[in-house]
Amino acid sequence: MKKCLLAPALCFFLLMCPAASPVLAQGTIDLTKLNMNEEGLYGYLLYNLNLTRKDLGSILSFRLKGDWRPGPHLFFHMELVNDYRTGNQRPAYLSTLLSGATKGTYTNASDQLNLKIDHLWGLVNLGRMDIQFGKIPLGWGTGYVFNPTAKTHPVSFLEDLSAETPGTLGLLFSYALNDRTAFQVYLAFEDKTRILGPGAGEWNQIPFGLKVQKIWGAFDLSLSWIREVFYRQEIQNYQREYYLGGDFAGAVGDFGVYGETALHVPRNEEGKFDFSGHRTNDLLEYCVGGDYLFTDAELTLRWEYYHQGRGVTKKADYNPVKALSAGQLLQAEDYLLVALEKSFLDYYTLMFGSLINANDGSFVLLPELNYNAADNLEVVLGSLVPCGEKGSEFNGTWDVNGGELEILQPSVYVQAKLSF
Amino acid sequence: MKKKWLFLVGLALGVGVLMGGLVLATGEEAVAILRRVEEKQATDTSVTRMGMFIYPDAGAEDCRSYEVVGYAKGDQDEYISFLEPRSIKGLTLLAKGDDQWIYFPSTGRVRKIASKAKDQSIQGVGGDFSYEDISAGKWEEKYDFIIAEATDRYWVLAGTPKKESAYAKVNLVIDKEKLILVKVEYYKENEGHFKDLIMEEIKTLDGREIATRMRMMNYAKNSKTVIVIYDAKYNVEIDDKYFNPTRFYR
Repeated sequence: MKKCLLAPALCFFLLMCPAASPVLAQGTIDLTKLNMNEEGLYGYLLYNLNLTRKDLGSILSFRLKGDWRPGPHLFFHMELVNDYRTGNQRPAYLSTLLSGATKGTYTNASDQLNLKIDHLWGLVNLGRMDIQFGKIPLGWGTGYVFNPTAKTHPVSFLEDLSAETPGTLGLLFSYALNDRTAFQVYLAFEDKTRILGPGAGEWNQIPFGLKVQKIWGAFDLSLSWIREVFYRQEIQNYQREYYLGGDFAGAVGDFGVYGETALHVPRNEEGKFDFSGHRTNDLLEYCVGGDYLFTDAELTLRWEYYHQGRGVTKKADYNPVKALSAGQLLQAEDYLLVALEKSFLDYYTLMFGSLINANDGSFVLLPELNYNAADNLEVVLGSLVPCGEKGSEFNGTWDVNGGELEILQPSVYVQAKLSF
Repeated sequence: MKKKWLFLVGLALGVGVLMGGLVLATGEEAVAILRRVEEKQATDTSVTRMGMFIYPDAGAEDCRSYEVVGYAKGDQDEYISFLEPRSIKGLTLLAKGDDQWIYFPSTGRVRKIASKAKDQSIQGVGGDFSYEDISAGKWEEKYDFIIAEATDRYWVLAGTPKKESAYAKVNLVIDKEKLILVKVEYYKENEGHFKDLIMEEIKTLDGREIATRMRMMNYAKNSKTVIVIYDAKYNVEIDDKYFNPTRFYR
């Protein structure tokens, strides 16, 4: 594999550039005159207050977005973000809970202004081809909560404040053969963990993805081949894994349905793809889900089943170190997410969700009330309630390096989001 | 007795055949009227800039306002992108016939809209227009029409859905002189007369006579949503990418 697939794919898209350039030169009538608001700065300020039995914390998140369309075929977008985190929301919070952890001086996050670039990309439309370059959100996959084919950025879960897909430095080429078929290729210039280790930048450390999209009847389908690269601290080196991905979205009767899968294609010691000695179930990561609208009650039901082959089915095999590192946030093999959403009194939405560990029976209740206080002001009151047996994933006290750690605690949060 | 019975059966059959023929005839006439209306309004492409105002209480002045730009090609392809409020800027919808997709800029993902969900108002926006109401395509492709009423000024065409629909019936009120659709009445199986879409303030924009204000009255919720067309351009060249489900959001 290595360069043999990457190089032809790159060549294909580079060859397409000259073919498409006359389209750029011709130009079309400038629609931007009717579209003046496609340019400018906007964003939001979000404040989150989180309360548990024994402590509290807060987050002040600021996201500044900017759009610029200098012509009908060129578009630029940026997103700068900063999080001020205090108390139980500060990044080092979990590690400080460990008994024996250093009680050294921790810098107060609110004293630091770390405005970082999350997205900064340009987009060129060349006939049927689009080239996106810079720090790009690569939002592959049809899953609502879990995205097995999103392999370019670290995954955060449950405490994620915003839905924004993190940007990845890279290039994204896409070519639409027609209205129903398209190809996509991305090359990422940083690994999933964002660690710049020795060997970074070598061709065989470049994460990439190839995808064919097809609209077939009422279904959108895609098939992909992905190389994931991430830095492993324990071996002080990059690890590469290959995945065969696929997803679908469509409707069966009145149900909206979707699914997304990534099959890990293992390699042997010689670096060749080899499934021997592996169970397919262990190599599979997938989600299937759906939604249904109860029209009369104006109630939406969402559900999503998630299987992670590398997870475990017995509580005794849980490894909290995986949970603390960015690699694997969930321990078990099978999960079910169920959510009911109901809008009422014009400006309120009540969501009641639950994430269930189907292997140990523990679950998290996630009730949330959303109030649209004004055109650009949203206020949320929510709670996270872990439930389950002693030692279960969501309601357990974990033994980490001889110390006890409660990763999920019952909490209540209030959030206000002001868009500007 | 037997003769009387046969006479009644014959009469019933005769009336049935006659009524069937009349329905067929009014059906053809209804489609012919619709085609004349659609021909008058037909454009190759259009670009429209609109304001949308959602009134949770139809009688009150309190409302939420949105600004939208819409592109259309023929009668099958429609693209709508939200410019205001800032909280949903970039939210984009594409309708190609019965198929619809929505793009969420925050996640960078596109979602296909399931058929049942088409009865729902736009996610993150709300209001009284459902995905089905803003779907692309000709009326005659979605409904079987008959002429239910004809006055000096208006035709009323009654339509029953040809395929799966949130509505049990629609009535289209057409201005005979201007050949413009002035009202759509929506009926549901359980709720009866459910909504009215009223076209108002007919003006000439870019050489075409159109209703520049569309008011959707929702009687079940006592709410209304008003769309005001600020500006429109017709038969301008629009990049095909806006109507391609694999790249409309790029």
